[in-house]
Amino acid sequence: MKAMLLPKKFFFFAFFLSLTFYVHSQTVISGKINNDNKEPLSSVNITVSKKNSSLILAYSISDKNGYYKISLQTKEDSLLLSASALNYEREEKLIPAISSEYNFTLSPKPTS
Amino acid sequence: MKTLYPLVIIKYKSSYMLKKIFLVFFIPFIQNVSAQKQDTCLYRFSYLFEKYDSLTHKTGKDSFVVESGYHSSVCYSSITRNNDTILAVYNKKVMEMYGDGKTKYINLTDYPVMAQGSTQKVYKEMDKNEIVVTDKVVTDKFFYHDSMELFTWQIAADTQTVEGYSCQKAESHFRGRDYTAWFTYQIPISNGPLKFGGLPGLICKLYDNTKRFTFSLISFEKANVKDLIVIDTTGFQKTTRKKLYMMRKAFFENPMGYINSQGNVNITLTSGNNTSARKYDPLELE
Repeated sequence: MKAMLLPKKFFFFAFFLSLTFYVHSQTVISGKINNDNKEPLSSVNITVSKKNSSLILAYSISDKNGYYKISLQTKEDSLLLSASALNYEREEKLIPAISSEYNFTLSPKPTS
Repeated sequence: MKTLYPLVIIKYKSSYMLKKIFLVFFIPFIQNVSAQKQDTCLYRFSYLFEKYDSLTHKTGKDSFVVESGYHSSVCYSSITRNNDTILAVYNKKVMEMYGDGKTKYINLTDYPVMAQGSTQKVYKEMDKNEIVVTDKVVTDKFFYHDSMELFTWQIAADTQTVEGYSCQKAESHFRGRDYTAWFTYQIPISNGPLKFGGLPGLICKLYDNTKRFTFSLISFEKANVKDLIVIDTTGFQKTTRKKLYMMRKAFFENPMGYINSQGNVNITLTSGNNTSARKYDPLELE
């Protein structure tokens, strides 16, 4: 009898494990922001929005080493990833809605 | 509150010589420790702050200015800043009138009646992820540290135009109150009034869910190149947020009692009753 119990437990476990994978189908987008001199940029706003919309779905602000990480759940196929900071040109990337890494290099805005 | 101004003078006058001696002795020491940090001010923006008092049914107003630099920012009340400038002039005048530096009794009517602003200054150090708050209780100056990660903003799909900027809605709970913020991606500064910030754009409008506290952006401009942001806690006593909260509460609820218990000064009222207790109802409840 005891030998029968083990596989039963295993199937239960496997079933719940697959369920958690299904529920948490999260997209994680991460990366690093640098300036032209390859120095890390902090306090850069990185936002994720729908393709033709300025409406922000999720966001992150780069840390002092220039790193950012955004987690979101979305039904969209593709997303617009933008990086913007004061006195720097805004950069945008059209990306597929799957977990991946994207780095940005921002150029300073010409002073007016 | 009007009666409080002379306190500054009384303390100053009574310990005038002492302060002089104190300064001479400690200047080399202060320079060694150097509690000062500098940054260039790049942008300056301001908010109208309105606080509705449910007891008196009156709306109190203040104006907060934020100066934002490369890696730090400071937020202060422009009313308090203006008052300080005016008071410095009057202090000098009163000193001349009473002359000898020994006078302990000052006539309140020598001072103008002025609107009151917030006494706190909020410094944000983005590179250290830290907030430094300086504040004053009567004549005592304090400072404490706070984290920059105070909010868990939930971004909504609602949009609105505020002061010509396209804004998006975000909500967060913060120390006892629920707030709604409208931020704009058009200004990529992750900042706002006082401690508020952490959104992917400047906060243009902010209010709590009872709408008793409201901040509205009224100006945004590029700063003069020469302007500096100086984080300076020299002369401020280190304390904690909770301790300062208790002190402010004690003072608000019984101003006379608080002042007299501090032992620095004694106030005698000859007329009027400007010292009635008020309900302490700060932004941060916990």
